[in-house]
This record gives sequence, C-alpha cells and structure tokens, in this order.
Amino acid sequence: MTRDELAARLLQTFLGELDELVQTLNVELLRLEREGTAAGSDVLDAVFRVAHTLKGAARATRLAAVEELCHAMEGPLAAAKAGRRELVAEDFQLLFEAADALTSTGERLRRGAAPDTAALGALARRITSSAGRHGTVSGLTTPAFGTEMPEPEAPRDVPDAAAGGATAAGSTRSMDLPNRVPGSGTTGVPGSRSSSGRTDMSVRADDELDHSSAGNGVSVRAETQVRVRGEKLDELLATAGEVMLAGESAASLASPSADLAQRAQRSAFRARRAISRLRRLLDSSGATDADRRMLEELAEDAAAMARDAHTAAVRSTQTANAVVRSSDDLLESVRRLRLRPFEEAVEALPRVVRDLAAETGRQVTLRITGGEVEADRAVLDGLREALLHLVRNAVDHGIESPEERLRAGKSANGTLTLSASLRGQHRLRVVVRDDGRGVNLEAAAEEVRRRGRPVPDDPRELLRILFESGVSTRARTTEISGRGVGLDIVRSIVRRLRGTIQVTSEPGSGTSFVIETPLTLATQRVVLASVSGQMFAIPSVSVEGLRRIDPGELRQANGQMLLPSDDAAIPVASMAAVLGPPLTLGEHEDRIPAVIVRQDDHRRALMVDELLQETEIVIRPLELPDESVSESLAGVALLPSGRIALVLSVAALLQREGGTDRTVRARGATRAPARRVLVVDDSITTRTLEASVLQAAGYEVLTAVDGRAAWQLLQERGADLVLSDVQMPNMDGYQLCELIRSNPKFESLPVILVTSLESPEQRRRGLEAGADAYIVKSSFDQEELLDTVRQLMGQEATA
Amino acid sequence: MIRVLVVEDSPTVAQLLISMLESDPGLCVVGHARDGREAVLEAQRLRPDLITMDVNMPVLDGLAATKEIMTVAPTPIIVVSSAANQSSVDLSLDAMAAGALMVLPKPDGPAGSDFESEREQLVNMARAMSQVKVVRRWPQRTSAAALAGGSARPVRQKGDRPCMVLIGCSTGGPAALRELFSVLPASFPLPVAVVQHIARGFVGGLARWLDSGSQLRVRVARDGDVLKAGTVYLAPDDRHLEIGRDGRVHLASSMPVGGFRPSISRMFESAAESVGAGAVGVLLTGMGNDGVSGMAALRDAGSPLLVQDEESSVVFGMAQEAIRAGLPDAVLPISGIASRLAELAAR
Repeated sequence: MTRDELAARLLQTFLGELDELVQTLNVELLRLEREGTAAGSDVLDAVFRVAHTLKGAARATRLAAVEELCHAMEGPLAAAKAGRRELVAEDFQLLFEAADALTSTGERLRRGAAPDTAALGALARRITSSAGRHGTVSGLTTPAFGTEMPEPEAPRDVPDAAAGGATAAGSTRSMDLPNRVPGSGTTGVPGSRSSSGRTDMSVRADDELDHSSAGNGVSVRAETQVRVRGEKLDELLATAGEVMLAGESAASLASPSADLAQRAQRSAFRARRAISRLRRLLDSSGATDADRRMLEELAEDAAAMARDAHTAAVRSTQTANAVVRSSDDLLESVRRLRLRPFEEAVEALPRVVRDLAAETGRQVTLRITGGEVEADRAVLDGLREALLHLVRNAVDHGIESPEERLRAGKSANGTLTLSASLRGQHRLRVVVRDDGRGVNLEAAAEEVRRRGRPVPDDPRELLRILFESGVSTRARTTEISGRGVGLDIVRSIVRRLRGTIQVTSEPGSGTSFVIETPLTLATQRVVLASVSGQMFAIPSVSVEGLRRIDPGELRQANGQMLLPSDDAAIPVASMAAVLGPPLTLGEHEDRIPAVIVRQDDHRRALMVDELLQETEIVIRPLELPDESVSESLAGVALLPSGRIALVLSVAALLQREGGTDRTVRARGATRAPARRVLVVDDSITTRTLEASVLQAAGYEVLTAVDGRAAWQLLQERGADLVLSDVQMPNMDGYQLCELIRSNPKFESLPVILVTSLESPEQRRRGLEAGADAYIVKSSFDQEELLDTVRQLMGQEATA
Repeated sequence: MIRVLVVEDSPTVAQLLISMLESDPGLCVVGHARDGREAVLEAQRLRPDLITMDVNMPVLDGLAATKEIMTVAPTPIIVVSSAANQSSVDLSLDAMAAGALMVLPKPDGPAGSDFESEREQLVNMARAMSQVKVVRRWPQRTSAAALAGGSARPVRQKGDRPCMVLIGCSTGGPAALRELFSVLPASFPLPVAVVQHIARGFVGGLARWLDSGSQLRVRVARDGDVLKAGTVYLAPDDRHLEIGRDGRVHLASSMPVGGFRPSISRMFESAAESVGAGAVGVLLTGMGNDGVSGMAALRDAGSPLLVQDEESSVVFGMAQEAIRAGLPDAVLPISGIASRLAELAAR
C-alpha cells in the first residue's frame, strides 16, 4: 500500500470515527449540561476522551485544524476533570459549536473539500481564550512547578523558540499547531468520489468469553467488536443472495433428475409387463431358458438402474435442500449483521430539540421509545434524515410557545414523542407525534387555493398536499424548517426507503406522522415480468395486483386507456412504451398480462409480455451514466437461471409519461370454449400467478383459497383440472385430492399438487392420495406447469 | 513471525498503527482491542509477542490494563501515547513503572514528512521489544527500607568525594529512575545528570513525573545550567548533555553517537574530560551498549562506576556489556545503587 492509499483509507476510517465520536460528544454534553456534576465523572471522562481520541485520529490523518480544535476542547474539559473548575454555559455553547464544526468538517471531507481551517482555528482560539478567562490554560494542565520550573518542552520541529519565555498556554499552542502550512495539511484528502458516501459499520459480536479476571474467578463478558466497512457487508449480502439463488437452481435441477428416475422406474415396469405378456409367445416360439433369462436380466437391469437413479435423485434433492437451507440461514445471518438499533437513527435528535427549543423559546420534552427495535443500517440512515425534518418541523411549527400553550389550557411544556415498533416481521413503523397546535387546515387550504390548486374537501387529502413542495402552514417561514421543503424531503426519503407515510392532525391537540418502511432494503420481494425479452423485477410492495386484461374491458378517456376497477379506473400503459420505444410489440392471444402498480394514490396498470413469478432477490446497485435511465431503475438482480433482471423503481415509472397512447386490440374473435382449471392456494400471490399463467395459455380459471372452498366450487361449477397447493387451512391438498378421488363423478379429474416442500415422503403421500402430478414451487416455472397441465388434459381428451 | 496486539480506541489511529507494523514482513498484527478490558482479555487469549498500548481509553485505561496484563499474561508492551498532555504522559510513565517497556509518540500519519522514520522507529522498537523477556509483576512493593541494605563489595576509591552523579538508562529506565529518586533524600548533596533514551516529546513529562515522585527536584536541563546539589537534570530531546569544564551543562547538537542523541557515552566522556574522577558513573537497565565506551573513559579517569543488576533490570543489556568489559565496581539492585550513592556522597 502506498502512502497515498494509506492516507485515503485512514481518512475513510476517520470519517466514520468522527461521526461516531461527535454523536457521543453531543449525547454526553447534553447529559452533562442537564445534570451537571450529578452526571458523574464518567460522563466528563467520556467527553474528554472524545476530544482526546479525535485529536489523535486527526493527527493520524494530518488534519491539523481539527487536531487544534480538539486540543483546545481538551482545555476546559481537563480542568473540569481535575476538579479545578466547573463547566459553565459558555463552555457548553462553545463545545456544542465545536461538535457542529466537526460535523460540518466531516461533511466537507466527504465532499472532497478541505476543512475550513480558518473557522476551525477561530473556534479553537475562542475556546482557548474563554478557558483562559475562566482560569484554565489550554491542553496541558496548570504548570505545577511555578516559575522556577519553566515548561521544558520545545515544540517539535520548532526548537527552542517556545521554550523559556513562552507561557504554558502559548507553548502548548505552538506545540500542536501544524508545523506545515495548510495545503500540505489537506493532502490527506484524496480528491474524489471514492471518499464520499462510505460508511463504517460496527458489527457487534457478543462473545461470551469466560475469563478469570486477575485470578478472582469473576466471569467477564467480553464484547468484541470488529469494524467492517458498510460496503463490504453489502457485498457479503449480495454474495449470500447469489449463493441462495445457486442453491435454488441446484434444487430445481434435482427435480428433473427425480423425474428421470421415475421414468426409468416406469420403463422398468413396462419392460417387466412386456416380458410377462411375451412369455407365452416365447414359450410357443421355442425360445430357450437362456433367451428368457436374457430378457429378464434386461428387465432387472432396468429396475436396478431405476433404483439407482432414484437414490441419486433423492440424494441430490437432499443436498440441494441442504444448500438452500444453509444459504437461507447465511442470508439471514448476514441480514442480521446489518441490523442496528433504531436509537442510532435518533441519537442526534435530543441535541437538535434542545437547540431549536432554545432558539424558538419553546419548552419541549422529547420522548423516544422503541430505541431497541432493530432495522437495516440503510433504513436507519434514511430515517435519520427524515426524522430530523419531522422533529424540526414539530418544534418549529407544531409546538406552541409556552404562553400560547397555557392560554390553550395545556401545560407549558410540549411533548414530542418518537416511537418505533415492528409491524409484522418485515416492516418498521415509526410514529412522530407532537401535542402542539396541529395543522391549521384553514391556512393550509388558503395556501393551496392561493397557489391556484383545487382545495380538496377531505382533510386527509389536504394533509397529503402538505407534503408537496412549497406549502407551509405557518405565516412566518423560518430558516429552521424552511417553506415546507422539509416535508417534501421526508416524502422523497420515505419513497426511497420503499415506505409509506401518513399524517393525521387534530387542530389544537397535535399532529402525528406515521412512517412505515421495510426492515431491510437489501433484499426484497419482486414480481418478475418480461418485456421485449428483457426481465424486469417490480417490487412486490408496490404491486397492487396482477391482471390479465381483456382489451374489451378497457375504456378510453382523453386519449388515455383506462381499466375500470372497483374504486377508480386505472390508467393503462404498456411497460415497453413507458420504458422506451418498444423493440417488438408483444403478441397476445386475447388477454394481456399486466401488473397494477401503486405508489401512494397513483396507480397504473402496466402491460407486459409475460408474467413469470414472485421471488425474493438481492438487489445490486446500478451505476449508469445516463440519469434518465438510472432513475427508473432501482438496481439489478441475478436470477437463479443466471439471467439478469432490471429492478424498476415504481415511483419513477409512475412519473414517466408515455405508453398511454398504445391502442390495444383484441385478436381472434371466436374460439372453442376454454378448458377450465380450478386453482387452489391460500397465498394470493401464488394463486394470482398461477391463474395468470393459465389464463395466458387460454384456460378458463376458477380460484379457491383452500381445499374446502375448492370442493364446493368444484361441485357447483366443475373443472377439467385441479391445481392445488398442499398446505392450506381448513382442508389441505392431500385431503382435497382424496375427496376428489373418492367421488365417482371426479374419479378421473386430473389433480396437480403444488408444494413448497420437496421430499420423497411428500411426493409419496401425494401420489397415494391420488394426485396425477406433483410440482415443486421452488422450481416453479410456467413452462413446466403448462406442460404438465397440457399433458394431463391431453391424456384425458384422448382417453 | 512476531505477533502483535494493537490496543487503541481510535479506529483511525489503530488502522495507521496496524499498517505501519505490518509494513514489516516479520510483524503480524493478530488482534486489535478497543479498550483496556478487551486488551487484557485479548492478551490472555492471543498471547501476543508484543502489545502496543494506548493510554486514554474507555472502560479501562492503558495503565490499569498494563498492570493487569503484567500480572495475568506478562507481555512486552510499548505504550503509544500523545506527548502533548501531561495526563497522557503521566499515564504512559506510570504504565512503564507498571511494566511497560517504553513509550512512543502517536504517529503523525502518512501525510506527515516524518512518516518513514516514524514507521521505521515503530517497527524497530516492536522487533526489539518483542525479544525482551518480561516477568510477572506483582503489585510493587516500595523499597525505601532497602536504603539500609549494604553492598557486597567495597567500592574502589580514588580521589576525593565525587562532585556529581551521571546516570544513563534506556528500556525500563523511567521506572528505575523513579524508584532511585524516591529513595534518595532531599538532602542528597550532589547534582545528578541523566541521559534516558525516550521518544521525542516525552522528556518534559518524564521530568514532571519523576519530580512528583521524588524528594529531589527533577527538571529538563538547559544549556548553561549550573549544576546544583539535590537537583536532577534530564538531557532534553535531540541534544547531547555534556559536562563542561566550567561545571555547567552544555547542550550540544553534534552528531548522534551510536545512533543516540542524547548519548550516555557522550555525557560520560565529557565528564571524564572535565571533572575526571569527580563523577560517579551509573548505568541502569536498557537495551544496547550506549554508555559502555563512555564508562571506559570514566574508568580511565578514576571514577567510581555502578551498574544495575540483572534481576532488577527490565533489560540487562548495557549493564551486561559494561560487566563484560570489566568496567563496573559494583553490580547492584536499584536499592543498592541508592545506598551506595548516598554512601559515596557522604564521604
């Protein structure tokens, strides 16, 4: 590693460390300010240590101005630590300023800019001179040796100059001042983009290490930490995701080999039957025993081969399943590695609330609950910014001045509550609630009207407009919360996090914002669709439904194709046209597969060539030079087949114009009545997917949510084939199958069982129950399904 | 392969130290502890050949960690500390009294112009210190009572009562000096000049640290100082401390001797020239052979010569060389050196 490379790497580490330490600084300073000496010496030690540690780190990264500021900060802290003085309001003010200056230095460095040495130096001097006024010299403790023992250290590289006559403060100063002028001090900043946007992540491994501490037998719980760059975890996660896909792909290969084994078994059986039929013929034709034995050996060989093939198939299935299981575990562990407690997203807020309340003359108590709830670091990073805006907004716009509150019959002290909780297994819910004046609906309506926009009657809709740029509910706009810009940012962050946000407000008693996001952004469920031969993945969270659109049901209004639905009609567009000029026009028999996507209140039915499946994928970011393309794409994902799917950003898709003018025409007027398939599955996704595939192939589809409903539907309307899930409430697939077989009316009705679990045992149970075929979900592909359906129907037709 | 444990709470500084150490193919960083508690556990678990120890750390500071490590898993320790805070320097030196071998300043980083020499110094010291056999340290007993302890051999006697004591020491020196000065009485009638090999920036802190634990006054020597009884003069960074014919301190910027400036030999030689038999030469614990040639000069001038014994030395290097050269009059533990000095001074 060259020195430059080392310098660049150190700077990266330093930026992570800076964030962490400044955070600690803010938290501990707040505590110290609030509790004073009651906070205990630990808190003071911690604050001092931050300044000290940061000084060392700044030195290692050659950030002389930061080092100088930290050194100045040590002054009053060391004095307080030694009990020579107490910290006063001015100290806190300066130390908080220093924390902010350090934060903005971090931001500058991330941008590739040099630190503002003049500002940092000026602040350092203010701290030092303030410390001097309060009777402390900076940095070094008070000289203990009077005049007889002058400070002996000469500054490094500045021999003798500061020794002797200089005061202690002076010599300390010159000691830590950069020996080299700025400019060389900033060489630690590697120019460029690589320095931006990387985060360091602390991974906690709670090792239970039992060690006898100094022989007294006390068990010590050691918590070892390893620092890993966030990016590396991303890579690990992506690789784990690919391992999982490879495992699934191996599992899907296991199923053809099981089929092969079955076919071998069938031919062995047929060979045996042929031999027994031929026996008489052989006898009469005067074949010898040797001839017969030859034939029988052939049949036995076939049977043996079938057995071996079966054993091999079972083994490969087991292995593939084991790989899938462990890769699932792996993925889960890696995902867990990325989890951080919610409190990390709100660490900065107490400080923000304090400053803002002081500035605006409010009295605000901030309550945070659910700090221990864990979510992916990337989610928390996004929430951090969103919550900052919401909290600022609440203090500045929501909570009234103490006088106003008293007049309204409330306590002078406003309360701002932030609570995090889990919604189900995969969603994080964060509520920001204040007990302030609430949104002034009239003012909001007036503002909306003033901008020449229609004012909705529904207050919820009005609140939604709150999120749109440029609407502020207070007459006075301030530097703090801007002109409603903050809320617009919140909205776009929540969108980026693939989350939702809702506002409710009660005039006079407060406002609540409810944000819901996925716990992790790294993997997500998507619906796969193909357009012009390219695979696209659409996040399931934005998919409202899958449809086969019959062109006959479409309406046209103002040149816009509309799909009528229960509530409002959904605009219809061709995905190919939305994404760009279509390469080929999809050929559709009569119904066109479509994905209905939704973001907030915007919906669109996007027609695609083919709907494939819903699956969980690991998304890798995509960097493209052309922003107009890259903003529509959330990333790429590798599919089990090895194909690449482009992950679409639904928000961007909805914003894109186009694709709406495509006229959809039905082809082929009359056809023979479609054969009817009854699809039974308790999962709406699977049900919809299977139904789509079958409809696309020209079958009429009935659906049922469990075995019992299916049985009823079957009796009422009949079907030519049943495609059923195995595990379902009320009546499972085996029971349904047995019931069908036990009824003479349906004796020969083909039944296909679809299961997520593949084991020889299950296959055996399925066949015992009378199923004609068995399809494993993990290897679900529509060709296989259609082949099986066709085969079974065809057999029935010719029978 | 020398296995190193890096103890440092700042990830940035840790990364710097690790890459500096690992620039040498013979060194391998096997662990990184972020506080003193982790350091103690990792030292026991990994049994490294060397530890670099930060002093200001959460949970357990470098001093407490050094104390524990020297009790439960004795390991050569290099303290890496900022020289700019007296509290850090104090902690570092206390850690050395607790068994750490030496202190190095926090490195400046790759953008600094001294990076190469800092790196070389760290690597060389890590290699050298990893070879030191450290012994288990039990909580230190004070050795004030040891003053009464007499010597085994009578000191060779030439000339009059000596007029100054000259002490040279290296690895393990600060603790040895502190012990020596804590025993010598305030009324000790001779001036003491000391050359201690220590990383640049630390000598001022060393002076204050020694002063606070001593009845003598301890300070860093300045050019032209008149040597006063009961005062200890430490050679400053990067200057030879020489004794002039006028009985004053001369600080010289002449070439390093054997790689050292200040050099123990240079101090001894200058005294041999200027005060002859009037100086008492003392070599304490330390690695290498600085001071040996100077001691030969003192011997020729007729000075009494003392060296620290193997048992009480952290590193029995310079003293051993002096013994091999047949130079010292007595080989004594620190307490014995103290009582012998008192004896010589009282003559």
